[in-house]
Amino acid sequence: MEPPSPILTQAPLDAAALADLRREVADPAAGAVLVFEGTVRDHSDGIEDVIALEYEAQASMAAKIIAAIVAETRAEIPVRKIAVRHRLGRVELGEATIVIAVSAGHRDEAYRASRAIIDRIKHEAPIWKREILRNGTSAWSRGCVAHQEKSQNEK
Amino acid sequence: MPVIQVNYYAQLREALKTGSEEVSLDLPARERDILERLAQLHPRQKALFLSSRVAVDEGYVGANAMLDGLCRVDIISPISGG
Repeated sequence: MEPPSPILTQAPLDAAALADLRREVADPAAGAVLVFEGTVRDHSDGIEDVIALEYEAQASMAAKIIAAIVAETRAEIPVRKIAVRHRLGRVELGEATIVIAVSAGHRDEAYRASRAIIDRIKHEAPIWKREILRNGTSAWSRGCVAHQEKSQNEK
Repeated sequence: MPVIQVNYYAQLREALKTGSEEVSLDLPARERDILERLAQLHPRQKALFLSSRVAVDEGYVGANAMLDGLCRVDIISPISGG
């Protein structure tokens, strides 16, 4: 049996995890390494006092889609290496929810690839977040209707 | 009429108070047919069903795909990852 995909993780994306990702994309031909972190902010769409987010996913499908997004991005943009981690479970204010590390020969490719990956994950990966407020209430984020930009993953 | 397993996540799982149910469904069917059938069964969640996507074997089905021989589908309500 294959080990579970490391793309989705319950473990904090802390300094040690970021260092691991930085090492994962290290490449002697890279002139640029870009590490993007999405983090929990204290408000969302007019909602104040957000203290945490709680993520859940159709995990096997989400991991498969993110892996396909990474592969398709590599095919389109000449980068060296890409590593992605997305949190599941509760993520506290200020903590990272997603990290995308990209190494490339030049900064332009690294920025373009990182942007393309985060945009597609937000629109395609079956992951949901619940916003937890300071007053003890919580609600699922409104989100967007899932769609895939590429046809190869469509049935 | 075939019976298929329907899996729910996040807001739909909570609203329906179940992560899975068996539903009889006329096949072949398109994505919209499946969502409308589920909305008919759970009218209070109609708006959520009609803004959801259907996934089979870990991939979204196309809007125009004719689906047959199904035994399990995942209902992907509006997503909010990242």
